[in-house]
Amino acid sequence: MAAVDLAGITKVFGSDVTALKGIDLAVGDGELVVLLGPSGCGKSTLLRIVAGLETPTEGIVSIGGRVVNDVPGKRRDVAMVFQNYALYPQMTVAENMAFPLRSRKQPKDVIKTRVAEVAELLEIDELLGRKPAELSGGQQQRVAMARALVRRPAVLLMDEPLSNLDARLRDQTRKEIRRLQRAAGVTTIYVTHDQTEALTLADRVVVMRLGEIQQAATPTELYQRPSNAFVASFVGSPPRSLVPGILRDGALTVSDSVLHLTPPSPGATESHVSAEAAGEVTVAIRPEAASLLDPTSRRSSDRLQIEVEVDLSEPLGSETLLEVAPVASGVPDPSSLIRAKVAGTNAPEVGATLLLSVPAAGIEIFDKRDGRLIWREDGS
Amino acid sequence: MSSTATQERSGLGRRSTSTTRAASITGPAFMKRAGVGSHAALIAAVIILGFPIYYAFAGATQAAEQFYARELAPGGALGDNVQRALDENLLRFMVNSLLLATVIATAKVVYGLLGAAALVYFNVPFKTFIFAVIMATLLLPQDVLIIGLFRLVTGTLGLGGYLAVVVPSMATAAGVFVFRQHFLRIPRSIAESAQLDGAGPMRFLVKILVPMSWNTIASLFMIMFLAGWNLYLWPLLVVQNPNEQVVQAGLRRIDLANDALGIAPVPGAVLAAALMATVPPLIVFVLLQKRYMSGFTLTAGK
Repeated sequence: MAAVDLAGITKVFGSDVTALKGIDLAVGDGELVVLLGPSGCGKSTLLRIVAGLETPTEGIVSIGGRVVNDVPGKRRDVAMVFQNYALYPQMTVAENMAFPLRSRKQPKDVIKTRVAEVAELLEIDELLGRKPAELSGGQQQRVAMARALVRRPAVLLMDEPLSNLDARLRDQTRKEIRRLQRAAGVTTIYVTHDQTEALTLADRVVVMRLGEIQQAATPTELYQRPSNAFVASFVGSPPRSLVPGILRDGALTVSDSVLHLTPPSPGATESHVSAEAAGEVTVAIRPEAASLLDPTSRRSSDRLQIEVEVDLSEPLGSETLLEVAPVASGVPDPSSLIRAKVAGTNAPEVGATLLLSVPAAGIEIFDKRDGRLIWREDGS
Repeated sequence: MSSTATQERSGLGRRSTSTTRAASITGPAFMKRAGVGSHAALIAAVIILGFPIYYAFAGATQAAEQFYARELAPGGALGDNVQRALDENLLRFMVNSLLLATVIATAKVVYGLLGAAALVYFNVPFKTFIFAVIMATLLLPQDVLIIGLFRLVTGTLGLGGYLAVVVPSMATAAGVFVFRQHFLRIPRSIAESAQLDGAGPMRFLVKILVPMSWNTIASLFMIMFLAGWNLYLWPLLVVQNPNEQVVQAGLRRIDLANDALGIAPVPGAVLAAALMATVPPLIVFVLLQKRYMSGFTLTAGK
């Protein structure tokens, strides 16, 4: 078991493709950190740098307090589960699992015991004599996990390990990975582009974009307090909707609705906004904070209330997910749809005109240009 | 739309309807005819391809007079002809060739495997350039090189006998190419996984790469064995001891020996010898057939 420390990691491919820009990240001993981001954000490259499969252009990689920049992958005591599992096709499950131990010249009886132990833990003891081609996708995934865990690595690296499984199996395996990781107490770095996977698995989620860390936080904090517009629009199921608005003198205008902010937006930030962006901001609306009222109901000034038309309705059983279009001068504008999650019963029909009502606690205001947080109700 | 267009369209419609009907009636019959036609073509091809083999069989059983009379029916001189071929040391030549072809094919497989592994799995500088140079050697036929090669091998390197046959044959651009393509098709993560699992290059090669390459190895061995078995010109140049000669050169000697002894040539003996000489490659083919056929797609792209 060991902590992983990344300091100033930069990776440039070829002469001009910068995959990572000065990444600083400390992963605690036994912690499960998920690197989350869209494809091309550099998350896999970062994982491969920890594994020793790529060399950083700049920066220092330490595992367990030891700088490992010049240590080859096989001596870093890391194990990796690959997206395609990378099982050795000509070997049986047992041989696959024994391979890392045999490579490290472990005694035969130790190998036998460890393989049996881990096989039982992952419930693949029935499969030990089979070849990978004779296994289902889920079984192959377990074998890949088993092969990684069998030698008790200091750090476990997982590169989108669930993306080749169907949805049900993915949910089930995700829970198992969490249990196994806790039980083994192994420091784990897990890469995914699936935010549900990230939020449900992680001790801490690191959101990445274009080679930079956007935010590193616990799943709850990440969802409750996104630090910029990208994180706000990426995290959550469904994620927040981003709509354009105008912020001037402590008053936010979205579509036909004006909300007076309390506490008023911090002076410095506000002047920054009004001076350079003419007060144009991006407003993030939390889907579960939005409620839909009868259009004739009385307007209240402490809520953002926008006249909308229901554009799409997706019943999910206990709740219904709606996409609504703001109505500006009688015409719905489908270019900036807002998501709202409402109770499953009495969900409005598609085409209905309603009043979308969001309390101040349900919104955040970001700078339109760089996505920086400008205002949140609790003042941070 | 004008009325002509409508007319045209209806005309087209009528025609296409009749074609459809005709097709639906004649379709199966047409296919049956095509079946007969293609079978006829195949039978013709079999006769064309099979005739030389039959001719050799028939010739191998004929006495000289019968052969020169251009008879096609089998004769009764098979035993004499075989005996004649054996008297001219045919078995010895076949053993020589078997040995050489096996060594050459093995060396080529090993060379190709190692060369391709180095090009695919190691950070060799100027990889692409090196590979291009290796492939460029394919462009030069051996016949062009043979005088220079002869001077290099027997003169500069001072090699003689089998060593002079084997050494220049060990390198194989085709082998490097075939293995390289095969390795490139193996997911990169397999090699990376082995690396993180603590396997060094040799362990990776022996425990993972070779077991994943048996089809390619078998296909390449088969092709290279055949090439080694069919060596003629080069051994004729560098092998000095007549008893060490390879089978293809030996076949020629069976013919020449008759001349030297002032005996009328016995074509049946040469044909019998030629037939016997096809047996070892056939055996190798049959032994490797399963692997060879499943790996065939790899070599087909060569």
